[in-house]
Order: sequence, then C-alpha cells, then structure tokens
Amino acid sequence: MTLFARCKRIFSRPYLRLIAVVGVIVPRRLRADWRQEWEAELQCREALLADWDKLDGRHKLDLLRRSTSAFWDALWLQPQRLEDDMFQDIRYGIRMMRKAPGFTAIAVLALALGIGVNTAILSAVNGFVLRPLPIDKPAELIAPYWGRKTDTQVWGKFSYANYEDLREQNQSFSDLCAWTETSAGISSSESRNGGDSERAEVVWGDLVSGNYFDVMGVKPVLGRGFLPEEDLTPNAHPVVVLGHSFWQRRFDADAAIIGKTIYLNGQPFTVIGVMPESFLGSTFYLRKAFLAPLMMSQKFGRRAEWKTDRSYALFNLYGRLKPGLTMAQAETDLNLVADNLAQLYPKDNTDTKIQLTTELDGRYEGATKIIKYGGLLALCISGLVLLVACANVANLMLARATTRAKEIGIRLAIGAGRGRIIRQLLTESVLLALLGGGLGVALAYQVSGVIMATFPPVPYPASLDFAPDGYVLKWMLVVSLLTGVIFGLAPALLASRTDLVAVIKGAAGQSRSRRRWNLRGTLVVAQVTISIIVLICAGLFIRSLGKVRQADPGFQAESLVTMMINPSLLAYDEKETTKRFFPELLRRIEAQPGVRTAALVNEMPLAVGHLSSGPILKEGEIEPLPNQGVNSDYSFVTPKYFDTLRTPLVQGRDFTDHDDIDAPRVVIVNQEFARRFYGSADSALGKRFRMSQGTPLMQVIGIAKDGLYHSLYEDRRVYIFLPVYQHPRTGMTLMISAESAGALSAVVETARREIAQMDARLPVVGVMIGEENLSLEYWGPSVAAGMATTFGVLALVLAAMGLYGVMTYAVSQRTREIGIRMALGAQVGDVLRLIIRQGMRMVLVGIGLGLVGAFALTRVLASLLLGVGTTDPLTFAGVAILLVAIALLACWIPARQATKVDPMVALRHE
Amino acid sequence: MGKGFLTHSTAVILQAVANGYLYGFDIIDITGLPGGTVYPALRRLEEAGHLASKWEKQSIAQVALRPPRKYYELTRAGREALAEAVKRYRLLEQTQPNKKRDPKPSRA
Repeated sequence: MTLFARCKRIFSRPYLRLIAVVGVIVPRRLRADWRQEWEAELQCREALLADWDKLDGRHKLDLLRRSTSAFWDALWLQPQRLEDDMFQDIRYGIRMMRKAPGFTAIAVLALALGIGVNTAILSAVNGFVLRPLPIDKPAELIAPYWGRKTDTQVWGKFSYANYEDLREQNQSFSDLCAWTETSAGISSSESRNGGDSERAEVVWGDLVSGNYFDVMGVKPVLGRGFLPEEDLTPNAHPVVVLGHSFWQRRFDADAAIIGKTIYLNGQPFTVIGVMPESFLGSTFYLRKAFLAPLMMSQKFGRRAEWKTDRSYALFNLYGRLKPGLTMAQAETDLNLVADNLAQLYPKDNTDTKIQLTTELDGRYEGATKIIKYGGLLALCISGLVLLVACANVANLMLARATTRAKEIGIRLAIGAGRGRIIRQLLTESVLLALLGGGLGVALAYQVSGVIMATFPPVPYPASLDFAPDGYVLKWMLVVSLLTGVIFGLAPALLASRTDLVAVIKGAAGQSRSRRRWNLRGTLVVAQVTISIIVLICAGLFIRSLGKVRQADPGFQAESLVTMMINPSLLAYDEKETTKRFFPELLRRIEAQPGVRTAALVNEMPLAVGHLSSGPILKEGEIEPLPNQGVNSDYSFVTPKYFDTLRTPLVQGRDFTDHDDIDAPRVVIVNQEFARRFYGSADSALGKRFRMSQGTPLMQVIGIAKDGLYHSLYEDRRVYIFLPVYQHPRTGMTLMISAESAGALSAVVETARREIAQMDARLPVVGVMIGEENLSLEYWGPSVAAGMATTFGVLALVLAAMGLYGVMTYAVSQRTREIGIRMALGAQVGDVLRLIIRQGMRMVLVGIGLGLVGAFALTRVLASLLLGVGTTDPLTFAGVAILLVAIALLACWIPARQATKVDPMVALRHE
Repeated sequence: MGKGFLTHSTAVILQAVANGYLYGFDIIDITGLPGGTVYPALRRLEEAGHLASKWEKQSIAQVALRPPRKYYELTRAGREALAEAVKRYRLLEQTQPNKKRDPKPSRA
C-alpha cells in the first residue's frame, strides 16, 4: 500500500484514528505490533462487510465499538510500561537529581528565571495581539476600514448611510454589522439633586446595529438581544444589554434587573439582557459596561444628522465572509460598491477606498510602532536571557558529566549503546527543564501581576489581561522541552564519548579532552556576549528614562489635580454649560481653602487626544497650495489656565471672563507660533489670523511660553489656545492648582463635593493627582527601563554564575599543575594571575563580541530611545567596565582557591 | 497464570483457537465475549506459553489493502492446558462449531 493510500485510509476512518490515539499509551516495545494487529483486524472486518463509505450507520457503530475495546486491551498492557526505557530513564534521572540537590537547584532556578521572563513577556504580547475575542470563530471576523485612496493603510470609520449601502449592495459578506464606542454617565436617578448615595460614574459601551449579535456570534446569557424593530427608528427604543462584570459590580448580579430602568446620560433605558462573562466588548482593550442600539446614538451625544450625513463617519464595521470567498475578493467587491457611492455622492466619497483585515491582524497592524517594536524587542531580549540560562545549565551539565564519567564509562563498558546513554542524559536534562518550566510559569504569574500593577491610571476600563493563559502555557511547555534538548544535547553527546580505557584505569578526572574545554569556554564567551548586549539595551533605556524625567513638560505637575467632567452627558446644552455652569463651578472651587487657582481645558497637555487645524492664514493672506500651509494644534481653555499650570505668559494678557461669545475673537499663541509666523513675540502681539480658510479672524492677545504638548520628546511645535467661552464645549478637564502639594487629596474631595452640589448625577472621572498627570508619559520608558534592567541583571548574574562555575572547574582540573608550579616556586600572585588571565581571556573576547553585537542591534532601538543616541559612549563604556568587574570577581574566588593548593597534597594525589 | 488452571472464559478462548478461530475478532464473534476480555486473555495466554502468534504473510494482506493480521496457534502446553480445562468444563467442546484451519481470512 502506498503511503498516501494508507494515510487516506487512516484519516477517512474514525476507528483507525482511535487506534492511533489509544496506541500512544501502549508500551513502546509493543506499540507497532499492537497497532498493526488492531488495524488489521478492524480493516479485515470492514472488508468483510463492505467499503466504509457504503456501510450503514449500525455497522459503522459496531466497528467503532469494537475499536474501543482496544482501549481496555491497551490498559491491560500498562504495567509493562514501567519496564519501558523511558520510565527507567525518568526514575534514574530523578534519583540522580536528588543525589545532587545543589546542582539541581541551581540548574532549575536558572531555567525558571529564563523561562519565567519569557512566559511573562509572551503573556503580555498574547494579551495585546494574540488572544482572540471570546466569540464564535474569532479568526474569521473581518474588519473593513475606510479612507483616502492615496493612503497605503487606512483606518477610517464609516458613516451610517455608507454602511447601509455597503451592507445592501455587497455580494461577498454574509452580513456586516456596525458599532461604535461611547462613554456615558450612569446614575440611578433622573433628578439633578438625586438623593443618590452612589456616586455617578462614567462607563463605556458599544452602540451596535441590530444584527451585531448574529455577526459576532454571541448571545446574552440573560434576557435577549436587540429586536429588528429596535434597529429601525432613531431614539424610539431606549433598551440596553449590560456587560457581565458591570452587572455584577453595580447591580450585584441581580437577575431581576431585566425589565428595570437605568439612567444613561440622564435618560431612562430599559435593561433587556446581560452579556456572557467572557464577552468584554467589540475590542480587546476596553471593557464595555453596556450595549445599546445605535439608533439611540443621539442620546449619547452624536449629532442628530448621524443617520444621513455621509461625512459623519462614526461607525466601525465587522463582518463575516460568505463561505468560499477570500478577503481579496471581498475587498474588490466592497470597493466596487465604494466607487459606486463615489459617483452618487461625490462630496463625501470621492477618492475613497476600503481595506479589509481580520480583527486579530488589525490589532498588530494598527499597533503603534512603539508597541510593535517594544513587544518584538522584549521577546528577543527575553529569548536571549533564556539562551544565557541554557548555556549556563549546559555548562553545569558538562561539569557534571565529567564527575559522572566513571559511571557512564562503566555503563558503556558493560554494553550500553551510545544512543542509550545519550537518551538517558537527555531525559535528565528535559526533566530539569520541565521542573524549571513549572517554576518559571509560577514566577510568570507574579511578574504579570507586577506588570499590571505598573499600568498607569487611565480613565478607561482597560480589559488587557497579562496573565498566562492556555495558549501561553502550551507554548511554554514546548519551549521547556526544547530548552531541555538544547542544553542537554551537547553535554550528552560529549559525555557518551568517554575514553573507556581511561575510565577503567580510574584516570577519568585527568583525561581532559581539549574539545570539551573549548565548548565550555565557548559557552562562557557566548554568555558574556549576550549579557553585555542585554545590559547595553538596559543601560540605554535607563538613560532614556532619565532624559524623559528631566524633560520640562512646560507645566508643574506637583501641586496639580485634574479630573474630567462632561455635563453634556446629562443632556446639558453646550452654550448654557459654557456660559453658566463652568464659570459658576470655577468660582465655587476657587473659593475653597487650599485652592490656589482653577481652570478648564478640553485636553491636558501630553494627554492622548489632539485637535488640529490649518492651514493657518495670516490676515490678508490667500489660501496656500495644498500641502503647503502650516497646521497648528490647539486647545480650548478658560481664563487662568496658564496661571494654574504655572506656564508664564511672556507677552500680552490672559483671557478674561469677558472674552465671551459676544466679544471680539481673541487667541493666545505660543512662542514658536509667534516666531514662525511673525518673526518674534513682539511683532505677533495684536496681529490677526484665521485658523483655516473661511473661519473668522482672531487677534493675538498673548504669547505663552513654549511647552510640550504631545509627548515629552517632541520638537518645538506651534500651538494655539482659544478661549472656551468663545467656543462653547462641554467635555472638559478641570485643573486645580493647590496651594501646597500636601493638600492635594483634600482638594480632590472638595472638588468632588462642589461638583456633586451642582449636579449629583454628574460623573467625575480620570482623577489624577500631582505627578500622576505625567504617569502615562513616563509609563512606556519606565517599563522599558525596568524590564531591560531586570533582564540585564538576570543575564549578568547568569553569566557570572557560568564563569564562576567554569573557573572552579578549571581550577579543580589544574590542581596538580598548580601544585607543581608552587612547588617549583610560583608565588600566590603568580597563581592568581594565571587563573584570572585564563578567565579574563574568555570574558574579553565576549565583551568584544558583545560590544560589536550591541552596536549593530541598537540601531533597531533607535525609534524607542528618546533623547539618547544608540551609541551612547557612557552606556557602552559603563556596561563594559561593570562586566569586567563582575567577571574579575567571578574569576578571583576560584583563583584564590587555587592558591590554597598544598603542593604536597597535589603531588601526592597521583 | 496458574498452571493448568484456566478460568472459564479463558478456556473458551483457548477452545476457540483450537477449533480454528485464529484471529482476535473471529474469537470475539464465535465466543460472544467482549473484545476487552478476549484481547487481554489472548496476551496472557501467549505470555504463559499456551498460545503462539504469527503474522500473516505480507502477500495475502497486500491483496486486501490492509496490514497483515496476527493469528494465534495453540502450543503443546496450550493443548495440554485445554485438555485439563475440558475435563473441568465438560460442555466446552460442544459450545462452538469446529472450523477448518485456514490462515486466510474467511468471508463468512
């Protein structure tokens, strides 16, 4: 029978697969025979009856039933398994490990550290990009994106009208659903003074189309999903499905919640269902508290024309392909529809295209460069650390193989095959690796907890989970096994090539094969090389973190408290809020003790979102050619904004309460803006410009000192401040400058109290105290520095351990030689020099290679390092010196042992 | 395995082999015993030296597009043990029809 025919037979017949599976537990010695007997019997039986495809169900069942008795047969053979070589090896391996607890402990610990950090890093990467959404067939969920034809990768959302046309006109999707993320204030009462002991809070949810549950393949565990009629008329059906964790936290998992009313943004919504526990929302990173029909969009602050305006791109899409279609086909199909839309509605659809990606791939493609490279780099570095650990254990195994040369020699002498010895030694190393792996995974749970704990406070319910899951554990098992083979193979190969005659003569300890020595030396060189690379990475990250911390953000965070409020969540009118609510709020808060000043801004400097406008047109200028003008970022602020941040105005005046809607348009710009457009601050003052073509002229009344706006390592950029009282908005960050840094938490309570007095339903979120205002900025660099340092120290310790081990071994090998030298008159210093020179030779080679390697590798880091060159001489030199110092110590201890050799003892040893 | 002492089901299996049912499944069919009993019993009998096993000729199996079957034969010790057992379980010989000894798979 050809191999192909055989494979085909096996895979088409379930009973043969069963035999193959059950066969695994049959002792290896008997396995081939056993499988053949059963396969032959079953196939013979099948041949007697008819061909498998023609068999009726009863006979098929009979064959299956017969094959299950193979399991009992196999079970009966189990006791013989204990005689298997493998079991023998394992038993022997465990005995050997218990005989040398010190060696075992060090090896297991080294491996646990290596495997542990790898598990933790893989878990984090897994949490970001690998873990699928807990829905039906997550890998098949397709996310279309919309954008300009000129862009290579588009990430745009869709307007509702476009979504409807795409959904109806496409030929390739079995269905498309639309969703968008929204925040909402939740309270348990409708009235302004609530009488409500619970604090109002802001929660996140998804507004979804009616077919969302079908497309995603999830169902509420309690109650129901949305009905078709709830997906037709705007604002007609205020219903909501709650997220599981929110339901547990806020409503104590009360099943009677179905049919009750909750208040989202001050509007009543009827709870109709609760989602399953595993379902966190449409994305992998935000934990959603509710799902509401997107027909209710207006109640969540979307403009009334959301349903018809094709330029109002609000919605993300998810879809599933019809069976048998590829993504490329579907993309072509959707673009045909898009071209059609471009002809019908040229205003909003000209030059647009649609790109498809799966939800999982989209995460990686959409991730920022920092996360992408950071993750990759972390994986690489942790892999290197594991290699150092492997090299270390390999070295230990080599040393041990020498002490076991006698045992191995005897086994060989009485007839053990070389393969048998290698298998025995490999079993031992795999056992070690598995032990190390188990301990490492336990360690990883701790480490991932630490990573989670360092996560900066963000005003969003992040659903990232960095704990190892089944996928990670499976991989780590594979990695552990591989590790066992990697560090076990070379020592096993060498050990099994023992010189029999020497062993029998009892001279094993003296017979030093040059090769083995070279291998040990090479391992040490490799360890030093890797650890210097990792240490240099760590050093660069630490220097970079230092630079970031020294950077002047342009404001003083120490005595600052910030919090976000958004009265429009409670259906407050924008104009009314800006005219009355905000000034009143600021007045009340400034009147409180401990408060120096207070102000509002739509987005704190260095926060996540940015508004941008352009091209800037100076008075009298005509619009420049496309791509020629200068854009500027801007924010909306209240009077005293600059005072609150302690950012001085270098020229002119601050906004006042009188710069309101009826007053002439005014603006404050930063120094860079003044320089770029007017040459200097002096000449900028009093000048007028437009934010873009068609907007009113605004007069520069003040020049603010340059600051940092997007990130701590940006170049100077132009910036505009607009008075919020002239440009009504409601979602604002309240900033309070306290009189002293000690009073911050009291100030937070005061502010909360004052806000609650004005409207108890108004949620306050994202409270940041003092330095926390910068924590998001510091987080990336400090995690990178912390991680790289941990890895660096680990690699250094492992390398030092390895060097120490090798030197100790070398000294023990050279005892006699040293004894003779001393007998011939060598001084202590000579012996020290001799040994240290031997060790340092390897170290210096390693350092040289490592420096070259680091020089090459750190180019990749360029985009992650902020304010530090990748060839920072201080780091390179510092790390090299540190390593030399540690290496000297690791050589010096064994060298001192060598000087204690008593020549008489050493010579008599023969 | 106790010398000369066979349980009834083991004796039945031995008798089946003696009657010319040489393959595991044939024995299962004729004795009506479950496969989970027959196979371990066959292995015990083989280990005790009552049975010997041989693989079918490759050429026969190749025609039928399957691996060669394993068939069992009574050894001299097996025949003695069976004779002992027949003395004890008198009806043993009459429970199953005799079959012509034929190493080829039957199409019955």
